[in-house]
Amino acid sequence: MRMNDIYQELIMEHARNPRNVGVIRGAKKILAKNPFCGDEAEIYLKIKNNKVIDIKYQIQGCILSRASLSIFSEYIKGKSTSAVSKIKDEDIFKMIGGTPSPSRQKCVLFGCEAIHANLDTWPKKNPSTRLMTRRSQK
Amino acid sequence: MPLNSEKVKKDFPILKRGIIYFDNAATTQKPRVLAERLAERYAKSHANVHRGAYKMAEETTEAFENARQKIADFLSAESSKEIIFTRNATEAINLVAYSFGRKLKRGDRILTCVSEHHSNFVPWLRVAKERGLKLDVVELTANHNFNFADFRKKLNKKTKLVAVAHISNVSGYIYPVERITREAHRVGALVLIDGAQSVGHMPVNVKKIGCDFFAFSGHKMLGPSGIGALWGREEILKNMEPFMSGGEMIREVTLKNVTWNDLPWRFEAGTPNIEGAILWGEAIDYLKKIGMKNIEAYERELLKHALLKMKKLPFIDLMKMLDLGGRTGIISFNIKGVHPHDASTMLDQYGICVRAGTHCAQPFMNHLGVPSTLRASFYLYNTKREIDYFIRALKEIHKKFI
Repeated sequence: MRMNDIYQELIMEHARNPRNVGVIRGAKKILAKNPFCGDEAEIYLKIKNNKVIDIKYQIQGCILSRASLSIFSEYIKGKSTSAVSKIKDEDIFKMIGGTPSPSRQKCVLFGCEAIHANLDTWPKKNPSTRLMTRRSQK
Repeated sequence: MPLNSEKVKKDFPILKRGIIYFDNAATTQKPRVLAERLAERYAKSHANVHRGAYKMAEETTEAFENARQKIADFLSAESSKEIIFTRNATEAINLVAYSFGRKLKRGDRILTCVSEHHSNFVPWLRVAKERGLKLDVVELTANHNFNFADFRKKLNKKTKLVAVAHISNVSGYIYPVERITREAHRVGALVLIDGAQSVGHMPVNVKKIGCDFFAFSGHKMLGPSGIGALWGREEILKNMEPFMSGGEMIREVTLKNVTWNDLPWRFEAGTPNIEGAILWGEAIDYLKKIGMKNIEAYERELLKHALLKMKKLPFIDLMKMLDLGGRTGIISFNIKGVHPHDASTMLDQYGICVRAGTHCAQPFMNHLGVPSTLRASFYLYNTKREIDYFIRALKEIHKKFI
């Protein structure tokens, strides 16, 4: 799929009706920031027996970032942390129905990357809550 | 003779790609003559400058120094000694921050503005932190223009340097640099103007402005990227320590000592961007042929055409930057309810190139209270027809997303 098809029904539907929006009291809060445009998300993960049993988030961002986090949150709910940490960028692009142009890939990935970065250090206390940028953006 | 944009367009082969290029505040496209001259130079005459004592080295040196003279004349500088080649405007500003800023003492103050591009803000923030200086920041007026009253209030005897843009890369407003300079000189402060958005868009005369430093870039005025310059007043430059060290900037080196070369080479360590400078000179010839007054008037016409149409669209947020006068062809805006990056991706599908983001001016974005904006910026090869198409695209995008 090319970029000019990116705003398709799946994306638009998730952007309009995002799943899993909210806060989990008592759960660890992950802060994600897209340095390219300043978009931000707060993500709450509840993990038990190495399984993601709940995820909620609040996001201020573009259609791509809102829809992607919504789709990703649905996908990882109930999955083991080791399965989630194995998800690759390409898998996420498949989930959302296509690969965006290079300048927009961060919009899709920044929330998921923050979750990944935190799974790596789970269940250590106080892991880094700031998104480490894998691709350098201006 | 007024500017004929359809004719001008033909000089820019890239525009045949079928794009509408409205990101000229980021960088400009290049006229065909630049590629032709580059091919010619590489085929006929290339050597290092100021080194070899053979004919081809002398030819290259002459072409390089001619370009410096063209740039000096373009700004009405006193002499080409006052033009120091850098990589870009950013490096020109860093040169001043390094060579002049590091001479400042604890308690000295630098005055800049909240709307500055990071290139004219971060160097001062750094030098202030390192040297224990105070960085004062001029606020903006209600419609986000330079607040002269606030500037006067924050200027005082401790202010050693005032660093402001000639034109904001976000609002396109032309700042009152002559008045700023007069006031600053009254308290004994030097003045650096970031001219990245002004040279190439309007006639610029550094003597008339009266400032002490003027930083600008080749690629924002039809020239190649990787070449820019600092203009500085000779009597100030000659008392400044070099920025970088290496070849070219020295007169004599012994095992224990070194003396500096004359201006401007004292600030140009290492082999410079020779072709960049020469092609920048070609770009200036091209601009002069069309006439800077014509370019300025035409850009204002485009701005007026676009802004009057955009004001009529209720879903366009111009964030109070509505002035038609005192401004070049830059419009920052948002489509209400549509994220700038979504809008920019959609505009790209119409073949329209605009910038979305913070425009390297995060303090300005914070001041506006938005995470980012869209920005359309015009130049001499843009047309009213392109703007009409852009307006139609904005309407369709709004309909799709809302």
